[in-house]
Formats: sequence, structure tokens, C-alpha cells
Amino acid sequence: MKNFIRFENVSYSYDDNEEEYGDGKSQTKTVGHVDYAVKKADFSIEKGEFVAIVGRNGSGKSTLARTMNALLLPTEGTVLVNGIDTQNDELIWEIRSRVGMVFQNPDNQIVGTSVEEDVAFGLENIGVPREKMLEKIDFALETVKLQKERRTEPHLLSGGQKQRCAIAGIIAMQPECIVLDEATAMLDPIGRREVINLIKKLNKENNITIVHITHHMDEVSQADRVILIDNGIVLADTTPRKLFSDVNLVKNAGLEVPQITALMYNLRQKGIDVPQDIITEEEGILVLIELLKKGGAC
Amino acid sequence: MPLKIENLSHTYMKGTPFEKKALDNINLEICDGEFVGIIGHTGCGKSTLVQHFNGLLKPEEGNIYIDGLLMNHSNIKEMRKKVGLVFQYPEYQLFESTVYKDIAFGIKNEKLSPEEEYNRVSDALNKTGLTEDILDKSIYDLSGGQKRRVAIAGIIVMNPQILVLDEPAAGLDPAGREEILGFAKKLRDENGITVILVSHSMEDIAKLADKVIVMNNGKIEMIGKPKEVFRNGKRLNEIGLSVPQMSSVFNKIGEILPDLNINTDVFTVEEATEEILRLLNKGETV
Repeated sequence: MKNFIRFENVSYSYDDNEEEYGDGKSQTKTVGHVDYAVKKADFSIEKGEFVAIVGRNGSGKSTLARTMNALLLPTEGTVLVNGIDTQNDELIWEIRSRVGMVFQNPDNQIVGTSVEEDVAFGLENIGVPREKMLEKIDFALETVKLQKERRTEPHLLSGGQKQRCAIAGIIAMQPECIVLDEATAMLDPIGRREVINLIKKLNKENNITIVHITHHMDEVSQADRVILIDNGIVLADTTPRKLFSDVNLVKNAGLEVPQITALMYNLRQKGIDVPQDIITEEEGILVLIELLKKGGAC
Repeated sequence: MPLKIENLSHTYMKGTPFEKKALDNINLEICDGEFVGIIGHTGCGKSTLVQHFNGLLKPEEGNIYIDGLLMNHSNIKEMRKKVGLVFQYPEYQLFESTVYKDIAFGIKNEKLSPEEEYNRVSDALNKTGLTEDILDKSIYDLSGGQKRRVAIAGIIVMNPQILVLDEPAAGLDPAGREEILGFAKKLRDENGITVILVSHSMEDIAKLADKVIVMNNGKIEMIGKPKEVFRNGKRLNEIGLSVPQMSSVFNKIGEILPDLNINTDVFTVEEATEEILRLLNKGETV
């Protein structure tokens, strides 16, 4: 489906926010100087895409993400999820069952006393009958490969397992999209790999739309599309390959390119003819081997 | 101020079905002014170990010596001043109304004159790369990276001789990460403070540490210079870790081109660039 999540001229300001909550729809136009965390975002995310969002701390990434399932409502502009305006109070649960969120700290988002109870939490809230619930839990745990741990107490899980448990709770609700807000930031290398492999699988096999916010550039290389935000403004909306080819743009936004891309950049600066759009280790190794063979180094 | 750990063991939830040996007979010596990296997968015992360094956890078995003195009941307060421990996400522990008050909290009991106190606070702040103009600000007006540095300044103000940083760069953007790690290195280089860095980033550890301690299941799996440790890529993978990205690239090239005399002790992008250039130059002269 086209325009699964549609941002129409979306701005968000943390100033005066309480006032707006009070009277629901009637939004007062803000006058004078207002700091916007997100400024006039205007783009769409399509069904089945794997989109990475990058930007320095405080650039507005998380704010933008939180508007995707009505955790935050835009100060100006409109966010449409599957055609539904997120301002629509009556359909807010409809929106949240379509778009699930995973946050940074796994310990802040687990509520159950065992893995299966935690996965059941969302289903209980919407009153799913027991039979159906068991089915959905089985499916979710199988998808994230936590069947063996189903009766384990969540605090005994590793970081990667905890995040997978959180993702299972979302999968059980059969969402169309999962938004991960720096969900890999606290994980060790193996935990990160587990989560990345899982979201790639969900994207490819279950056609779930993925929005992944991260500071790890090697994870960005895995996405179909990357959105770079700085100071609340969308600076680039392109493929990881194109974004990382522009080393200066990335550096000026307070970020870095993957190390393998940086190596290619350095070699090019030294006048060596290597492509600049290398973003994965595998591609880089092939290029270097060619180069070393041709250069007569072996 | 050397730190010596002797036969240290620790068990969580002893005597229950959930009993878990978090530390198993650890022996370790850290010298003055060393920059030590500690790596290990989640739950390997890293945090349990560093919490013993300043007596937050007391040894169940084994001894801890700081400066040759055995840590015990009567001197634990003194010891704590010598070893500053910065937890993960220290900014969550900021609680005072202003930056100044928060940093000064740890030296309140030292009965300093206002000038002395101000000097200590601003000195600690400067060491973290921040300037005095933020001292009167509210904690809430700071960025994530600034908050974290203020929290670290609150430890440095107590003049620790050993500074333990548990994942200081987690959740920071690449520029913020460079800043935090850069100032940790500066503290060591310019002030001679021993720095112990716990991290999941093999790249950072390889770049900064003089000595790397690899933990696995409560034991020390390896200990040595980054070069020595990161040569064991296979074993590191088995225990849930990895080698720095550049080492992994160079190891694979070495496997595919075994005749190429490639130096695989390469950890940073700069080192990698130099090694490729060296190999190419060698080729031209042959």
C-alpha cells in the first residue's frame, strides 16, 4: 500500500503542549518564538519498507518516531496511518495496533512475570479469547525464537532476548509496522546481531514495515532507505549507499560513515581508484582483494 | 595507585534455586595510569566485577587491595574516594536543581570554603570539556551528552585516582561518543588517572586500551594488549564478542590471499589505510 504512514507538513513543539492536550482538537496557533523539535516533515513510508532514521542526539528522531503511533500528536500538520489521522481519538487503538514501538531500555518495557505473560499483556488488554491468545503467543515466540524461554522470568534474559521478548509482544498484536527507537543501543554485539537479524526477517518474510532509529551505521547499511534528520529538519531521504557516499554531509550532521566506507574514502584521498559507495564489509573485502591483486601486492 | 584483585568470587541469590556464580576466582592487577578495557557479553560479570572496585559489593571470597592496602570495613569510605565509579546512563542520577549543585554534592562533606568548592567544581567541569557558563543552568536545559558529562564531573570532583566508566558512550551519537572517550583518554594522559572502561564497542576498546580484560561466565577468559586479544577472533565470537570491524576485514583478506603478507593487527580506519598503502607500495617496487 502506498503512503502507509504519511507525514503532511508535520511540526512538533514541546512548548505549551499541555494546553493542547486539555482541549483536544482546537489547537491554538502558536505565536512568537517557538522551538520546534520537528520542522515541516513531509514524506511517506510505504508498506513493507525498511527505513532507518539517523541524526545526532536531540535532532528530533525520537519525536518524529513518537508521532507515528500517536504517542505524540503533531503541533502543526497531519500524520496519517493507513489513512487514519492520528488526531482521531476514537481510532487511536486502531492506530497503535498497527504500529508498535520498541524502546531503548529493555527493562522499561517488560511488564509480565514470565516471557509468555509479557507477550500476552497486549492481547489481554484487547480481550482476545484464551484459545486465540495461545495461538498468537505461540506464533510470536516462534518468530522471535524464544519458545524455550517462554516460562523464564524476564529479568533472567540477556539484553538481546529482552528486546526480542518486547518485539514478540508487538508481533502478537499482528502489527503492520514496528518502530524501534534505538532498540539496539544497550546491547552487546551478539544481542545487536540477534535483533537486526530478527527485524530483517520480519521485514522480508512477514512484510512488516520497519522504522529503525540507530546510531550504529553498520545497521543503517542493512536498510532500504535512510532518513537523516538534523535540528528537526529532514536533511536527506535516500538510500544508505547514496547517503554514505557523501562523507561530508554525514560528518556535518554529527554522524559518521561505516568504517569500511571511511577506509574507501581515505584510499580515494590518497589517489587510489576505489568506488566510494561501498557500505558493507563483504563488498569492501572484494574491492580490496581486487585492488591488492591488481597492485601486484601478491 | 595500583589495584589488585585476589581470588575474588561472588554468587548472587546464594542458597536459592536461582543461585548464580557471577564471579569465579578472579585474579587481576591494574597499574597506575593504565587505560584498561573490559569486554564481555551481557551477564558475563563485568558490572559485578567493577562494583567490587570501590566496595559497592563486598567480596564474598577473596581480597581487594588498593595501593597495597586491603579493603575492609574500617577503610571502605576512604577507598571509595579513591575509586570513582560511573554507572551506565549516569545522567539518570542527576537530581539537584542546578549543574553546580549537582557536581558539588559529592564534596559537601569536605567543609571547603566557597572559593575552594567553586574551584574544585569548575576544574572538574573543565576536565569533561564543559565551561563554567552552564553552572547555573538547570539539568533539564542540557543536551544528553552534556548531562552525561555533568554526571561524570560529579565523580571527578572527588579527585578519584581510578575512574571506572561503565558504557559511558551508550546511546550517544558518534560525535558525542568521540567527545566522551576523548576526555577519558585526556584524563589518563594529562592527569595520570587510571581509567577502566567497560564497553561493547570493540573499536573503541582497541583504539584506547593499553590492556584488555575479556570476561566470560564470571571468569577472566583472556587478558592482554589489544593486539594479543583481538588475534583470537574465533574464540571471541564463540563467547558472544567480536573483533573490531577493520580486523575482521583484514582477517578475511588474509584468509583469501594467504600469500599476501598482510598485517592483520589493524584496528582503526587509519591503521587500515596505512596497511593497504604499504602493501600497494611494496607491489610497485617488486
